[in-house]
Amino acid sequence: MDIIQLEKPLQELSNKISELKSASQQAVLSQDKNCDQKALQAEIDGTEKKFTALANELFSNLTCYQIAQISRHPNRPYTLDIISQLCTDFIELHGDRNFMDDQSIITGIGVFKGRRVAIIGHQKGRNTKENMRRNFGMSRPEGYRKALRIMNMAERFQLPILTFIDTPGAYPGMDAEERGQSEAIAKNIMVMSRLCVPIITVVVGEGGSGGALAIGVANRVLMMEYSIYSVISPEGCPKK
Amino acid sequence: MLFPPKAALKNKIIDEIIKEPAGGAHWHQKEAINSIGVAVEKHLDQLLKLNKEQLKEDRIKKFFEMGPVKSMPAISPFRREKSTLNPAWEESWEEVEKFSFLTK
Repeated sequence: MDIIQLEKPLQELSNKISELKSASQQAVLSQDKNCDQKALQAEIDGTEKKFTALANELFSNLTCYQIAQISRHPNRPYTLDIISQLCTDFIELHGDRNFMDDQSIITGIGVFKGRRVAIIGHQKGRNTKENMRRNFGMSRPEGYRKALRIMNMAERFQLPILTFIDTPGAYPGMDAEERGQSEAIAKNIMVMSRLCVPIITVVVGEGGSGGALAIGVANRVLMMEYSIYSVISPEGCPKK
Repeated sequence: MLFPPKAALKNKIIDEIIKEPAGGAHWHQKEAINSIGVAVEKHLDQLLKLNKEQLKEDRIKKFFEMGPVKSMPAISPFRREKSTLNPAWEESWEEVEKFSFLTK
């Protein structure tokens, strides 16, 4: 069953919760004395409990393909969301010093909970215009070379590296192949396995093939509950 | 070939599954990101205690232990005279060297 249909009852409950919350906020702002705040709060809590119970029931046994569909949901956290919530003093670094700046990989240095770190991660867009700019999270070689530059810099300054994977795969277009896609990925894997700083990888959404491995050779690989890690995107190798 | 988290954990491809709030991360983004932060912080503190050589060895060991095959040959850029990680790799390496014409 398609995941969007599966989630319809959750969507209704979520709408109800947001409506109730806005109603209670309006009552506070307008100082409405007829409105019973406690009853409203109790209803919100009840609906939230219902939401949790229903979600646990629906998500208890999902198929692989349903997990793959959840991992592509546009409201899931992307690298920039994670950085803006967990890191302070983040400075994004652009360009691979050779060809151009690839927008589908975010690189930079920042402070993560009091520790200086280098951060690398794929970034997708939430609407069509942004997705065109980010190339749907599929990186070209210059993106991987940019990541390589940051890794070398992190080793020089002894910064731990955090990477966040969320890509359908490396970009397979003609321009990418002309500039040496496979060489860029291979070199990334080679250099990453020899770095002498801690590397931690989190698979946030879908982790597809070389695109994921190029920044995924790490001491610790963590994975979100509804994410996938595969040798190719699921539609790439269908069985007959 | 496609690894949902449980299968990946079983095959030692990943180290930990980060729990998401009920209904997945797309309903409660902030809680999901917080749980990422907690998990990453825990592992980062463990790794910061290791020195440079230990970190390299730790990474190689992790990748050699992946999957069902237990005695992997030590085809590694860090291969020394004797492997410090797993003596079984040395034996399997000798088997590979018999077929060294394949690698040339």
